[in-house]
Amino acid sequence: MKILRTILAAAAAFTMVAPAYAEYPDKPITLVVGFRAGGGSDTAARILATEMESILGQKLIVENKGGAGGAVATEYVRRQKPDGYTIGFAVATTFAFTPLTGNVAYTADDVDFVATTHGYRTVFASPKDATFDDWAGMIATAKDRGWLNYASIIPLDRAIIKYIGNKEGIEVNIVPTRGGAGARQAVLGGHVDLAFSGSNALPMYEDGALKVVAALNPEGIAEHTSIPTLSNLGYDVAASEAAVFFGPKDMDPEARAKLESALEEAVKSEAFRDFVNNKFRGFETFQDGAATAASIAEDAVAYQELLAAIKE
Amino acid sequence: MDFIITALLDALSLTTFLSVALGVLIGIVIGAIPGLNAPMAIAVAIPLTFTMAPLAAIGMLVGVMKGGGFGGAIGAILLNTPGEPHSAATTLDGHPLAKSGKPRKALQTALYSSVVGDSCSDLVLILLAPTLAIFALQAGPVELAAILIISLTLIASLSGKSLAKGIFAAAFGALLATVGVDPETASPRFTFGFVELFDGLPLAAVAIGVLAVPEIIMRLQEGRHYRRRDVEAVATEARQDRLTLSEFLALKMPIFRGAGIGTAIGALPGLGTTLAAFLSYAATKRFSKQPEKLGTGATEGIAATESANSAVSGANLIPLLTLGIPGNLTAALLVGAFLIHGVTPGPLIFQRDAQLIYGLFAAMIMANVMVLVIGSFGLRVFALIVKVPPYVVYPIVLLLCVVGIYVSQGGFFAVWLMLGFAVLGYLMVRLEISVVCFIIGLVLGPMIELSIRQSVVLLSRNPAAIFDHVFALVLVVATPFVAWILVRDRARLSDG
Repeated sequence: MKILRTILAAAAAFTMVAPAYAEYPDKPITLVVGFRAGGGSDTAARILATEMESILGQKLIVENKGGAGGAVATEYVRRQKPDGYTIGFAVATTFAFTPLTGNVAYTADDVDFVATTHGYRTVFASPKDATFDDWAGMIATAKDRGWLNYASIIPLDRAIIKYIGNKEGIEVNIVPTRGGAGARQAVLGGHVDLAFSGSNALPMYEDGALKVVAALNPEGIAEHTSIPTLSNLGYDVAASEAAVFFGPKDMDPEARAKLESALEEAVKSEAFRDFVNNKFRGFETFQDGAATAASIAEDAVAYQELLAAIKE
Repeated sequence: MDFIITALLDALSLTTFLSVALGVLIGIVIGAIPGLNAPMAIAVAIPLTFTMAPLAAIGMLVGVMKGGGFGGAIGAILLNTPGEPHSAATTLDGHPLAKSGKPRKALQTALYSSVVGDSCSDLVLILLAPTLAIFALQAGPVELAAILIISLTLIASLSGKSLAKGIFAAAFGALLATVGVDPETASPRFTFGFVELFDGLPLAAVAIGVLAVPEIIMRLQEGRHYRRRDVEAVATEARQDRLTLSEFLALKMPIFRGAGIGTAIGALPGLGTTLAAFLSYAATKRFSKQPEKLGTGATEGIAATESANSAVSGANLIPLLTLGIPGNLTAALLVGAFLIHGVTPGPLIFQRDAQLIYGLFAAMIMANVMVLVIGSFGLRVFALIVKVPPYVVYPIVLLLCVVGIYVSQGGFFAVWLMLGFAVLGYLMVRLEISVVCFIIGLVLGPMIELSIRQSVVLLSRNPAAIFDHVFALVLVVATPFVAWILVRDRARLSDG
């Protein structure tokens, strides 16, 4: 059916004599994914792209430009024509946090946001043989000893743990790791006291392979209410992470609106909801372009305060 | 027991059989094409599996991984154009042997060693995965640092005629490996404002640039002197061009040694195929009765590297399945695919997804047999490449390298890098500086840097804890002795 439809669409495109009022989209759209092929973020983007194809009646070409947490794709997309035929997929911190590090040339104002499609959940995990079972026990152990070995993955989690360390008067030894795998190895092997982790720590926690002592995303972990969020624990910091679709600045408003409503429909599909909830273990949330821009601006202010607080 | 039998029946179904066979075929073909490699074959195959049943899908991807492992050897042996850093080890003896008129013998050695190495490590995975995973977890940053240091000392024996040039090349590789965001402070190093370099130099682009492209240029330079007679000389020798059973049996030591090294390194996440291949090669050179023959087309050399790098792929699934920790890029892609098909890696995977996992094991063994069968037919076809004039083959190969890097690394930035590194590689070959040492420095440099820096941080507040790491201490103490033995060997060799 799909092939037939594509052929018909192609045939129709050839027979039409360039109508003056060609309606968007009248040719394939390129979706530039800011992560390497095969990972959880890439898979979500591909599922959404498939759904959008049937909604928009146009082919979506997925191109992976991984690197620097979505910054490589952002640098590329913002230089493309804002006609709606090149859009990008990255995460909220690509725009809210990365520009604050001073290493990239863009800010959140250099792109137009289309929508937020789903949220990520992040946690602090400890080895299963750790002498403590919860956050308070962890802090007590660290205070007693004076220091804490911590496996970090990204600059944001490093900033948050530094902030907590300052507040609690604990010296945090930050062990750098490359990617999530290194941090997970360190915590499963008991080489550190605490590690940052994505939602892939949750099945490990359910299997009893590690302890999860706190959630960094403000929404918490719905299926495990015993895991406190950082704000439950009295810290006014959080790591908000969500999947974001964006395009070059000053995107064609009609195209942007069409993509936005296509995504709003795509996130309701069974395939996508199953992936996000049961496989990726993130959470469902949809925000339109304006709301996405507002929450990214809000996050950016919070992160700025966080960075200022740990500088002192 | 029931579920094991059900799992076997699942694996023996026609769909699973066909998807594994298709996977192996895709793997061999993509792996054999210069410029493309096994991780890329997996990335291409993953979307194809979206709509398949879980076992068929995972079986197909495992087939791609195994086929890709052998496919990589084909380009390395026949054209001297490795698609991945670890295949560079296979070129050392594989290409000279193919060039001397025995391309089939070289490919057969690679195929059989690869299948034996793979089967050994699969067996270890099937029998010992949960136990081994717990054991492997004991190896933290301190142990990895010690293992890497002693391995690098062993590999130093591969530096070619001049030790100084070899060390220079490795150090230069390690220096270039520092490009990217500093793991500890997150500040960019040597990136010159290119966001594309934040995650480091794209390894495939650099490897193909320094290893494959200069070879293409040199073959084309020779192309002017190409004569029809060379091909005929190759053809008349074709009758002797096969690996006899007794020749194969004589290779049992390098093969099993390689399988052992590959399995051990594969089970330890974070070390990788390149280390296994070169370590096995260095060990074989050390224990060979005719070490001077290595590097000139010895089947021992091919057997050592191919058995080791294939063994890594099976053992890599140990940390992957039980801990969700991928050992290399191929395994990282597999984790994503497992997730899509509802398989969550974790310590309880053997209980939770028992039927699927035992089905996967059966599919892995099936894939090994298929690599052997499809590979045996395939190598007859591929071996014909040497009969095609270089001025036809190499321009096509160059085009494939450019296209492959463009697609797999996402754009022209990587293509320009590849071409830049081709110039460097060409200069290194002309100045007789070991390109292989450069690649080893480039691949192992970041691992050594990270594990040492992690160890320093971990021990900073409690230095006495170093005495808890007995295994690491033993290795560190042994390192100077190993170095001394190797220096002595070297002196003896140059005397003799």
